[in-house]
Amino acid sequence: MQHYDDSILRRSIDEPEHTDASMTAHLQGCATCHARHEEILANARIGERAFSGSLPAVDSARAYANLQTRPASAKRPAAWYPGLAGLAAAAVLVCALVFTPLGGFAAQMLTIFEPHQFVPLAMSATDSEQMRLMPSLKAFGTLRHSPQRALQDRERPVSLAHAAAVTGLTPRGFSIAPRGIPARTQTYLTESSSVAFTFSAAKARAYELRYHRNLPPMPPGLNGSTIRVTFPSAIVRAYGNIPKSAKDLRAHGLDNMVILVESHMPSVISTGASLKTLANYLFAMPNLPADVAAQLHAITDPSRTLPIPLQIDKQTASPVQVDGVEGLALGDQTGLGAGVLWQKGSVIYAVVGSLKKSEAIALADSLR
Amino acid sequence: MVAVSIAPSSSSLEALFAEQYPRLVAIAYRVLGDRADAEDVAQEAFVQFVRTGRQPEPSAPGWLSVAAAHRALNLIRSRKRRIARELAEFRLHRPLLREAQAAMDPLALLDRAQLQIVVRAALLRLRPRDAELLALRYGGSSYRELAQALGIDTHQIGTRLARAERALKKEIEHATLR
Repeated sequence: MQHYDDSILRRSIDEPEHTDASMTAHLQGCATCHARHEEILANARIGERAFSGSLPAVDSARAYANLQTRPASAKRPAAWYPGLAGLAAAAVLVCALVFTPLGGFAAQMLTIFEPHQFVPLAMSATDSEQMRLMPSLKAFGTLRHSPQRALQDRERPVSLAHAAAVTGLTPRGFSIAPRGIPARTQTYLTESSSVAFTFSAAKARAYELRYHRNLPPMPPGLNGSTIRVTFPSAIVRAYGNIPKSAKDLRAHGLDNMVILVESHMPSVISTGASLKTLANYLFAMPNLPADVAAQLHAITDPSRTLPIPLQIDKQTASPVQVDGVEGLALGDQTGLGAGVLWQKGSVIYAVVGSLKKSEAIALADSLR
Repeated sequence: MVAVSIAPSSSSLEALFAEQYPRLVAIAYRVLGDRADAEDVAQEAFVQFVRTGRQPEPSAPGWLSVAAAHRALNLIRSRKRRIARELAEFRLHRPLLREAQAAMDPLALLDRAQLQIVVRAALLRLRPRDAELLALRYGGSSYRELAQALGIDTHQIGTRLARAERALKKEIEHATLR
């Protein structure tokens, strides 16, 4: 006797209209095929149950509009991570904005703006490599930092009341528990710091001669101009597997941890040149990738918009309504987690951690 | 932000997007169980489609479906540690079933969140092409669409699906009964 193969038996479950009378009779009379059919049917039901549930409604028109505003990039990035890797870098970048100015050009660009809104700045791994070749600020000016606490002080936890008193902030907290995150919390405080940069045409000329590189001509009024950026104190609360040190954080990223950052806005003061003049000068620097420069030039209000560098094909960013305002939801394709960044009143907030984007948004929305 | 220059013609891509985007979200959602993640994956699949210079032609829906399934599965693979933690927690609090009941339906008494934990953990242990087939089938692809997407004969779909579901049951039992 010939038996039905698995292909026909399985398809007969999904498309019973193709089951003819002879097959039905055979299944009733053949113990082998009947048993096989029952087993396949049982497994199919488990599959249906496993993948059951209603599907979310989607707004295809809005999604297409989002697709059209993604920056163009010709190259597929290589598997390369910046020093702190993926979303941990974005999270630390946000924290670094309030902890201390970084030495890299990306942070130098960030300090030019007084953020009231955030946009993603998509960068490929190739872009990041290219930007490492850009001249540092010291090539065309002098950088001075305000005195800062020693590293070990920065890592010592404090009470929330003390942090509130120092920062002048009224700390808010999650009204829901971060799912799957151990119920441990520690509060850290950063003190206010500032950095001043004075442009020097003489230094730029000396750099050009020494390194045989051409810098853009320094615009009139920029030579001798000083920009001072003041970073206010920030409250950083860590929930879950809290790293013992900044080195520990860099080694393990945000595994099983959520961070909530609250800070007043940085302030930017210029003794002469306008922000537009500064931005145009810096965006003309050699080795700034064309697609990154194009994104920066497309920012309509550079005095109020903070670009958040993201590595394309590893991280995603999308506008999102959170805490009653528009923010930026950050996602990660490498399993590190997600985050949300927004500004409410005069306070910047960030929630980042080993979360799904929807969980980060829910936590942000739960702040009271 | 800089507007991307989309090739080929925007109208044909837009039509393809309108037609296929909900399907791609469905495929990704069955794997990820999260709407925001699923929409990210679906959009990334289209970005990849445009970047590789593909055209909105008859093979496009199949290519996009497979791309979405791959991206969704890669995303859960990247979250292996988190999924392992969730499964460990689930095993501490799972509802107790009699052995016979568990053999009949290992997913009995699980709520939606528990179901998703178990299914994601099971998908991680499947052979990639079994996981891919299940994502596509339960994301709504017909046998004809599966055959076209995977480049195989329609007659082979039933055999592969039966095998994938058998493997899925085994991995679900592994997740729920250990």
